[in-house]
Amino acid sequence: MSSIEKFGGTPKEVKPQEEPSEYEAQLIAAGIIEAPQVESSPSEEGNSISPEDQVRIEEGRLRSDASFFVGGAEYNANEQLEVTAEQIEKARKEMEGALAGADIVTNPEVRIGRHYPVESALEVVTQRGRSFAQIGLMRKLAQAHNPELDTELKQHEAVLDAEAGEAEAELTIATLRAEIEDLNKMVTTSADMSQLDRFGAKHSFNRAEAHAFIENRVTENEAKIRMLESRASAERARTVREKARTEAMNEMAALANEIEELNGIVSRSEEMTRFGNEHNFNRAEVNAFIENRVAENEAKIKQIAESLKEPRVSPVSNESTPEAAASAVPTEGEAPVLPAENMPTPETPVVPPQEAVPLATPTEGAPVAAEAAPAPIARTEAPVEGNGEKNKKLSPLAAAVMTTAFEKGSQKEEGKESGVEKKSIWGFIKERLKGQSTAGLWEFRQAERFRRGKNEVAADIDAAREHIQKTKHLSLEDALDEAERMRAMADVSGIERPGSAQYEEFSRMITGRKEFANKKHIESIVAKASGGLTERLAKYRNEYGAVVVADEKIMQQFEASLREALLREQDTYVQQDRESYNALIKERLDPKYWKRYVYGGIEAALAAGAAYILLPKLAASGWWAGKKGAEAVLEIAGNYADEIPMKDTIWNTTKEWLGSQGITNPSNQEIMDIAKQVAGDNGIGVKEWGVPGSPMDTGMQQGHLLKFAGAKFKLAALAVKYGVSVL
Amino acid sequence: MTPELTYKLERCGELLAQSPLDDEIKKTILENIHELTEAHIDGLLASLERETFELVALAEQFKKFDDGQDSRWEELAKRQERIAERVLEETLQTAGVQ
Repeated sequence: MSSIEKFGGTPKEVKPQEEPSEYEAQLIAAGIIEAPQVESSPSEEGNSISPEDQVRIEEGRLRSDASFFVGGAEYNANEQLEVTAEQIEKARKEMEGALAGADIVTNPEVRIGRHYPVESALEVVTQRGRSFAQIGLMRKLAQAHNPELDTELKQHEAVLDAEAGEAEAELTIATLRAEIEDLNKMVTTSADMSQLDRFGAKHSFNRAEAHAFIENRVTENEAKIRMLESRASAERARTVREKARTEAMNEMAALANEIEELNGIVSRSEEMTRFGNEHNFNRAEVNAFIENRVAENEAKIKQIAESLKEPRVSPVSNESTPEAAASAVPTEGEAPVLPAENMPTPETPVVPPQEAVPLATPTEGAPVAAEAAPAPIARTEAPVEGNGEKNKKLSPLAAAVMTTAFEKGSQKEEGKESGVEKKSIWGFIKERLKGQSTAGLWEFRQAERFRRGKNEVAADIDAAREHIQKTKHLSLEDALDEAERMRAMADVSGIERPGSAQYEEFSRMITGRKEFANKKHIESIVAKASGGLTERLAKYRNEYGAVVVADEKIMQQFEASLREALLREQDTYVQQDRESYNALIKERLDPKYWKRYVYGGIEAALAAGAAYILLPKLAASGWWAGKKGAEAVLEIAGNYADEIPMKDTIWNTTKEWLGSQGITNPSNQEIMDIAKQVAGDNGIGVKEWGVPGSPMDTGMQQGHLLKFAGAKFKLAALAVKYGVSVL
Repeated sequence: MTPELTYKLERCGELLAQSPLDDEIKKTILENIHELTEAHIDGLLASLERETFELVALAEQFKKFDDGQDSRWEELAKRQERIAERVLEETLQTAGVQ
């Protein structure tokens, strides 16, 4: 047991005040140093404790002592309370806890005096954080009760998130500035650097070292401030730009919609008549009105489109506007900005240098790593205009038309999905695949694997299918239903490994239910037949005229043989179904088939010239991570980088390919040179050119994929000659 | 903008909306239409038409399979009834019932 004075109730001992020395007294008299502060007692200061207060304090002390006494403390011979070691430890922890809540900064390196800008910025950060937390709570409620509200809140949350980032940057800047201010004060006011407990005594610096330290620190802080301000400015500029662009696109879409509506009115005479009557127009006036309005809208669209095309960097100043700042300052994770002369315009897509890698041809089936960006086709120049109308870039109006059609189609599709209209073809197929046999399910999973790249899940689902197939007494539909339920439950439960105990539990549960249902079905047939047997036996007598009793043994044998026969027959049909379904699936849902003949089409569109625009954007967006279909399309696009579908002849295909690479006016000899390379690389014989091979070019089918890998080397030489930039 | 191009763009948008392609791919294409040419749209449209054709063909084959499956399972039900009758008769014969 220990004793501490605090708990003993003894009065505080006051140390006698030391008298100043003679030398100190002289300094005090001269005003050089201050007289030492004398610790005065309350009574000396005139704040004597009243008798009531003394009683209250005494009562409190007694209560405190009593609580310790109850807890095991004891009074010693001097009537001091000796508390237990546990009580001391508890008190220590309480004191530490109280200290932890106090505003004490223990690290002198980051301790900064009170600065209004810092406190103000901190308040903003705190406020943002509080709002963010509130939104998070609201979203949880909204997710459960009001999904629409949740969507709105999510948008609001994103805005708040951005604002919080800004506020945090402001706080950092304010802190850095405050530190600079403090440091400057130290330099200008301190006569002795040893007084600087932060940078002097604590670090054993001399004056020169302390100054050097401060100078470095100030320089560092200033650099950090510049970087943070630039980044914030760029972020603001980007937000402004995106907002403006969205608004412009929306406005163009609205104008295009209006044009469409007006055209619709013209095409429907009755509508036009009504329109005219309502406004006291005659037909000619209505037409004129619509014509004017369409022209007006087109002019506006053009004007908006022009404004979108304006260069992002002012040639006069690189830092005078947020736009310029946005372009001039790279942010974390962003590609460096191109020099002014290479600054992209809407016609020249930005391709970050790290993405401009040589064309890659991934091995078929090789998964695309989520972390690593696939090698996209990248180039820094758009197709050269002037090679016919078809090679001109589409106008923003065209973009608006297609976007509008897409949105309408999407709305229609959603309507179909919700059952308002007939389901789309794809919707139908998805439903059918879900409702087919277990074998079909596996094939569907294969297709899904192709689409989603979840190899492990597909393999394990396959194992689960085997398990289902081995389960007896399951009808085709039951088996399918079970498999689909298992898959759905696994998906919902987030179980990616069907081998887990939980998945086994689902499987056992569903299988048991299905077995029971199937047994009932079989039993109904057996029961009906058993009833018939009993009835027949009751009507007949044997050759001795005696009634044949359907004893238990006879009935059991009958039922067993009947069940076996029915199941055997059913198994035959299940097998037939499975085989014919497999044949269908293998033919139509084979991943390779879909890659080449279905998605290959999309690939062709991308690779034919648009890939260098779209793929870097796809890759840069990071969308492929975990996204369905990503593997397929990127893999396809990668393969297609060196393969072009033949159009008309090898000559024409080569010529078009050169055009798509920016060489729009090659000589016949140049085309011939590359076409021969293509023919040779693909083993195609061309009699006229003296190129041996099989098949001959005359026997080639349209759309046959031609390898252009070798041709790319020759293209590089031509590119130098024509001054175009290609990979 | 020619009526032909307008048609192609509308058809392309419609087919893209119906396509089972990933939404991100669709989004990226839509956001960059202004950077494409009519020739690109031709290629895209042709491929989307091809995709639709393949899906229609697949749907037809599923439908055909479904129809065939229904009739075969009806046939199975009848065969099972006959099997039950046959087993019943065999059992009666074994039991000596005439």
